[in-house]
Amino acid sequence: MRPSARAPYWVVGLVGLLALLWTVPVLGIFITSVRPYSETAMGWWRVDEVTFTLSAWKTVWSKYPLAEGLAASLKITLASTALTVALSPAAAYAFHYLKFPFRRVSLIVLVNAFVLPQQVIVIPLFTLWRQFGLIDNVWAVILPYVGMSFAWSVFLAKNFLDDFPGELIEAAKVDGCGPIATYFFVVLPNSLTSLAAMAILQFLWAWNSLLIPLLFLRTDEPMPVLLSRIAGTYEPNLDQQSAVAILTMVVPLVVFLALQRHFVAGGLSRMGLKG
Amino acid sequence: MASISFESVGKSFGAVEVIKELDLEIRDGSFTAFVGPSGCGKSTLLRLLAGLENITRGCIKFDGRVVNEMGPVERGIAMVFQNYALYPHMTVAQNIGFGLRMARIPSAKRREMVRNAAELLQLTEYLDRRPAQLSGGQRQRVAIGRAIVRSPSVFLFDEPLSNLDAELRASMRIEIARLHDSIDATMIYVTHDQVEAMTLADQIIVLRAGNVEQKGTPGELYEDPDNQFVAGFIGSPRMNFLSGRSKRDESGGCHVELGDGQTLQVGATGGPVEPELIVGIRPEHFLQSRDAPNQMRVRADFVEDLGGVRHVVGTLPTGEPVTVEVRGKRRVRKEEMPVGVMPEHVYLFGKSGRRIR
Repeated sequence: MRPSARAPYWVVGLVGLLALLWTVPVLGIFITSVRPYSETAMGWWRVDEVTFTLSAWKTVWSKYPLAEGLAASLKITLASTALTVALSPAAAYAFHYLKFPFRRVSLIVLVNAFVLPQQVIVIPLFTLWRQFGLIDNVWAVILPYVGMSFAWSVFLAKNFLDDFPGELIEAAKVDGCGPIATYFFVVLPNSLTSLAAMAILQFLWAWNSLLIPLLFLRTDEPMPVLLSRIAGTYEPNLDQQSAVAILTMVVPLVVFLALQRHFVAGGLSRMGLKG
Repeated sequence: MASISFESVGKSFGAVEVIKELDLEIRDGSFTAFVGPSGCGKSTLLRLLAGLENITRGCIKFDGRVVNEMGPVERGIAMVFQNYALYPHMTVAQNIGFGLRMARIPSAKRREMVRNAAELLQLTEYLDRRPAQLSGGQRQRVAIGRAIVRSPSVFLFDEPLSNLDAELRASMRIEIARLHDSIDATMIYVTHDQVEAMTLADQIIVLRAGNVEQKGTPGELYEDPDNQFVAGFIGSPRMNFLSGRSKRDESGGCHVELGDGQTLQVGATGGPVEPELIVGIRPEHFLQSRDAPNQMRVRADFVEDLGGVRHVVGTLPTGEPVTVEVRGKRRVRKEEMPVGVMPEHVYLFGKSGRRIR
């Protein structure tokens, strides 16, 4: 098949159907949030009686500190994404190109932190933060987010560096760069694709994380914690939960749409090398 | 400018010994080419010189100063890489000036130096472009510009022309030769293309499996190869090799008997001659004349017509393949053609490949 040839119609149909399946729950949440609970209690697809109302949206906005929640989410997420993106590629570069004692062992330990579930670390972390007086401080959440992200983000950056042209690094060496100058002037500007991928993954993970902020934060509660508080009451309020769920979902969706070009691009107009 | 000496230099990667033990002198201001088949250690040698790789044994000296522990900048080298290795995110001007920026040269002075280098290489109109917007030849010139702008004492070229098409390669070859004339720095050039080595270098070092097979001027290597490997490597088309047996006549003169019993007169050989020999004859040394000495009959199987020159690929009566270069308008038919060769153009090698003079 020529590369320019169109995909066969059955492929388009199948992919379309799958995409539709994925969007149905989102559609359901949206419809639940704009209809009174009485109408959707038996299922959001029921059309016995259809009225549209924004009352659930108004209620949650006045009843819960949503603006503060969004701000807290943004603060925590942006800080932990920025720290991961700043530190992981540097660590990966050091593991890949520099020689230091215990390099291999420390890389294995770092990457294998992958297998530790969050639930295992929260209790020791809680006693540690209490000792340091960090409970109800955003850093109690940001630090573990960044620390836990190293397991996959260093691995991701290192995989990217495996394909990074070694000649560019050698050219930098010939031009008089030390390891740090090589990293900032040559490696980093040519790693934007992997940085974008890393930023998206870390942003989504930090934004959606529930357990750690639920345990460590009291005042600056991010969106997933607020969502769990709304769901925690006895009143049947699926419409309100849906409204907050949409609010929680919108920000990562926008981020993903903005950066997805880098996510799939597979490499900026790559490397002034051959071709 | 710098003279370079290798003293018992060895390099191993783990258990693999890439350079065995190398002693070599490279004159100040010379143009030296390392040639050899792939895997012979020539690129490793260049990287050892650049300081990109540490040597395992021995020492390298620049102007008598040991540089083993020094980085590329301290050694005063500049290198042109096979794949150009231009920084894709920088413009041509930034690429050329990057080394100067790292050396903290003030930006006004830097701009002037970049402009001078760009003028020398006719790159002035491309200074604001990115490498991706340049052709292969232009990229190569930028890579050379990046090297010359720092006025290094030693230039290292790692197969710089191998990614270019034939026409561009020929014109870049001339540009490099011109560059060597205008800035008399020591230049070291690695290639597997013997034409580049022959045309550019004033000293060629032929390497095989980490050993120096022979070093000398292009003329010396062509006229007087030390062994069968060098004889086969230098010269295009390749030298023909035939097997033969030595015969002494009553007067002490030496003859060689080919497989079909035909005898060839050879030039004077003073030393001892082994009974089993390999006879080497360059394609261009065959004479298409019935009056020439050492007449042989070649059955022409195939003719490569290059315009002025034709290469006849044929077979001797012994069944051995042979290439004959034919110049001029002489017609070549696909039939037996008589050729001869002057005795002084018959090279003899022992079974080990060593030249018998």
